[in-house]
This record gives sequence, structure tokens and C-alpha cells, in this order.
Amino acid sequence: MTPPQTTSSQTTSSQTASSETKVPAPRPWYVSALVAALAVLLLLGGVWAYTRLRSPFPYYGTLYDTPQPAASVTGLSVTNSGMVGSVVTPTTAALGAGKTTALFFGFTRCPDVCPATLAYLERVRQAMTPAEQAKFQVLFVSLDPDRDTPQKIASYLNYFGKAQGVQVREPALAALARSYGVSYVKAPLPGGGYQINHTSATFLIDGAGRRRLLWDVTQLGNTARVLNDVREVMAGS
Amino acid sequence: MTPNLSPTLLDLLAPRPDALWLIGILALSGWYALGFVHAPRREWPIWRAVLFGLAVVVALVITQTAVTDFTLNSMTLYMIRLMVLAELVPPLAILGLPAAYFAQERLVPHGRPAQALSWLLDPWVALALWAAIIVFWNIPASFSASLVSNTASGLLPLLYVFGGLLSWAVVLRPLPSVQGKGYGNRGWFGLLSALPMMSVGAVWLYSPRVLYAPYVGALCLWNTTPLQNQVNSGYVMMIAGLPGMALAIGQLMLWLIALADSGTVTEVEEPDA
Repeated sequence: MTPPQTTSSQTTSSQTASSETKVPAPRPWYVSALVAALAVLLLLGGVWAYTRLRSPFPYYGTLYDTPQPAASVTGLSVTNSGMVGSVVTPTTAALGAGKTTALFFGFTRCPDVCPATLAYLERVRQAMTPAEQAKFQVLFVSLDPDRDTPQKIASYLNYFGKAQGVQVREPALAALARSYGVSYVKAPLPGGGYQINHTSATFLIDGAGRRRLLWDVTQLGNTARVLNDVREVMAGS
Repeated sequence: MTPNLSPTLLDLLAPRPDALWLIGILALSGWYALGFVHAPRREWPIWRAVLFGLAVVVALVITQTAVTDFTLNSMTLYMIRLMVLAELVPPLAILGLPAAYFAQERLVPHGRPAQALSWLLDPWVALALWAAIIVFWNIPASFSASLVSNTASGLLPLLYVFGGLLSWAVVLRPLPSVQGKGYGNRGWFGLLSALPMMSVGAVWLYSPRVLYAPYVGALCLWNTTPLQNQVNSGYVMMIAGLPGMALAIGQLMLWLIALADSGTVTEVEEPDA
């Protein structure tokens, strides 16, 4: 076999390249370690600066890049909740119109996420001043309209303070959930019946009717930080 | 009933342009194509262009399709996307660069940029940055949950590409003029840099409850539970770390062999040209 021929020009260029490729001298390990620590500080500082650039206020919830218009919630609701002889009326919940809304999708037979969410939101509401409470509402939309009648929703919500509940029938419910990116599906239970598996986010809608951020149920337990988010959104709308 | 929770491959690959990623990928591809066309084939072989092209195609698939949207309902898909960006695109792109040709044509950085790159590609620095990216964004409870949740969709994929490029650049050494050449350093680096990922992967694999807040109550794709998704994410992370780890072990072997030979093999000096 003949070895590949190398032309003189190639030899010269590769020799030049190799002679120019100087390998840098190794650094003392402690210098490298110090620079590594600085680089991590720079990285995390840069990330912090990026988030502050997106929003000067350190929101606890996950912020929408641009505020999204919140789809209106139209359905049946009990208007005189807690009173004898409740009246069910068609309702379009007032999203925007100067009120800040915490909107949550759930169902009354939910064993964990829904009661926890509503309890946390009530805790936030109670931590507000009366003036703030007047400009804030908690809105609950049932994802189980077959079983959650307006009366049942109203009596369920009575356990959790002053939330407003709405029953939205299919297919309007599917369209509404889709517009918020909420998923839900019926899951059969072993002993019969079913439960609803669903997205556990709570959406904060500002006084101008725009979705500003969302919290996961795991975040809602931090009342102080959730309240700060609400106050900031209230002040800005 | 609600958003499609059983997407097919076609659903996942439906186009969904992301302008910033697209501009970046096309700009890099254009720069590469120009260099490739003008360079002699012997110096810039086709196999390198094929690897770089693969990196570009994979990056386009992972950033310009509906996969991004579906990651909201699948931690596994979310992790696959990040791992592809960190562990597949960077090595393909780096292997696609003709390092010797760049050095010969003086296309490698000189002066201050070379110094900066030399620091960035220092194994200590690269390891610390990569570990910070992996640990900070995967154990948010210990740090700042809001910082993590507000950067997870926009900034984090970019950080994974950055971290992956750093890690693989240290291991594959595409810039000999600014990087040390010892196999030992690179091998140790490769082994250590795989540890944070493997550790997080193991935690997800064996945790009895869902740890990653955004997926605690999420409805997951393909009728899986959040916990199943977390376990699968652990597998994805571990499998994604294996090639880098295998390469690191290989480099450590070479280093050990060289170390063992150092006192026993007589080097034959080549005559000066």
C-alpha cells in the first residue's frame, strides 16, 4: 500500500499550524477554583438581572411574558349564597372592571387540591385590608358540571369564605378551560363513580381583565408572597 | 374535552416557530455553510459538515415544533427537550468544527477573547457553571422558587445549551490553542460533571412523591401520572449522561496508561526538521 502523499505546501502549513498551537500552561488549582466561584456568582447574578429586567417586581408566581386577555366566565351561579331559598341566575363573572380576580378550576368532590387552594386563597383574602378586599375576588369554576349544581357549588364555597362559584356547562366549559390552558379528565374510581384530574393552577387576573400570572397549589401556602403578588397587580391595574 | 393529552409524533412535530431560536440557529448555519464552501475538502471534511448539519436539524426540531407546548403536560418530554439541547446538540456541533483548519487559518480567537475563552473552558469553571445550572434549576426549594419558575421556559433551554457546549468543549477540546491537552484533567472533569446530573436523576428515579412543583398537579400526556413522569425524567437524565461519562472513563484510561508508561517507555526523539 502506498501511503498518502503530502505536498510540500501542505507540510509547511500544517507545521506552521502546529507550531502556532501553543498549549497554555496549566493554572494553579486554587486560581481556577476562585474563578469558578466567581463565574457561578456571575451566572446567577445574570439570571437574577434577567428576571428583574422582565419584571422589576420579584413576583412569586409565574409571570406571563405579555399579559393575556382573560376569557370571560359565563354560567349559572347562586347570587344570594348562604341565604334561604337561593336563586340561581345566569352570570357573567366580572373579570376586570377594576377588580382583581384569583380564578381557579376545580370540583367540589376534590379530596385535596381544591380545598387546599380555596383555603389558601381565603387566607390571602383575610390578610388584606378591607379596601383591598373590596377590589379582590376569588372565582371558582367547576370542572364537574354534571354533579356540581350551582347550589352545591355555593354551599361548598361557604366553607371557604367568600369565593364566587360558577357552573359552566359543556361544551362552553371545554372552550373556557382550553383558553386558560387548563386540562381536565374524568378518572374512574375503583369503587365506582369518578373523580376529575385537573390542572391545579390559580390564575391572577388584573383589574383590566388580563391574566398576569399563575401560582401552583404548592406555592399558595406562602400567604405573604402571594399577597405581595396580588397587591402589586392591584397597584398596577 | 381539553388540550390533546395523547399527541402523536405528527402532533409533536407540528411547526411552531420561535423567532429568537430560529434566527440564532440560521445565523450559525449560514456562518458554517460559508466556511465549508470556501475551505478545501481535505481540511474541512464532509463528515464534519454532516455532524454539524445533524446538530442544526435536531436543534430545529426541538425548538421549532409543538414539542415545546406539550412539555407543559409532561415532565418527561420537558427533560428530553433539555437533555437533547445539552447532551446531543453540543457534541454534534463541536465535532462538526474543523479545529485544525481553524487554527491553520488563524480563525481561532486571539488576544483577550482567547484569554476569556481559556478561562471559560477551564475545567473548574465549566464544571462549576454546569453544576450550578443543573442543581439550581432542579432543586428550586432550596434556592428561589420564583427565580426558577420565571426562567424555566425562556432562559433555561438556552442555559442548557450553554452548559452543554462548555462541558463538551472541555471534553472534546475543539480549541487546542486555549485549552490544556492532558487527558487526565478532561477525564476527571467529564466524570465529575456527570455527577450532578446523575444525582438529580437518581433523586427523581427513587423519590416516592413528585418534587418538581409545576408538575405536582399537572395532567400528564399519554395517561401517565406526575410520579411516573418524574421517574421517567430520572431515566432520561441518567441515560443522557451516559455518553459523556463513558468518554470520560475512556480519557481517564488513556491518562492512566500514559501514567503507567511514563517510567517504562523510552521516548524516541524525532530529529528537528
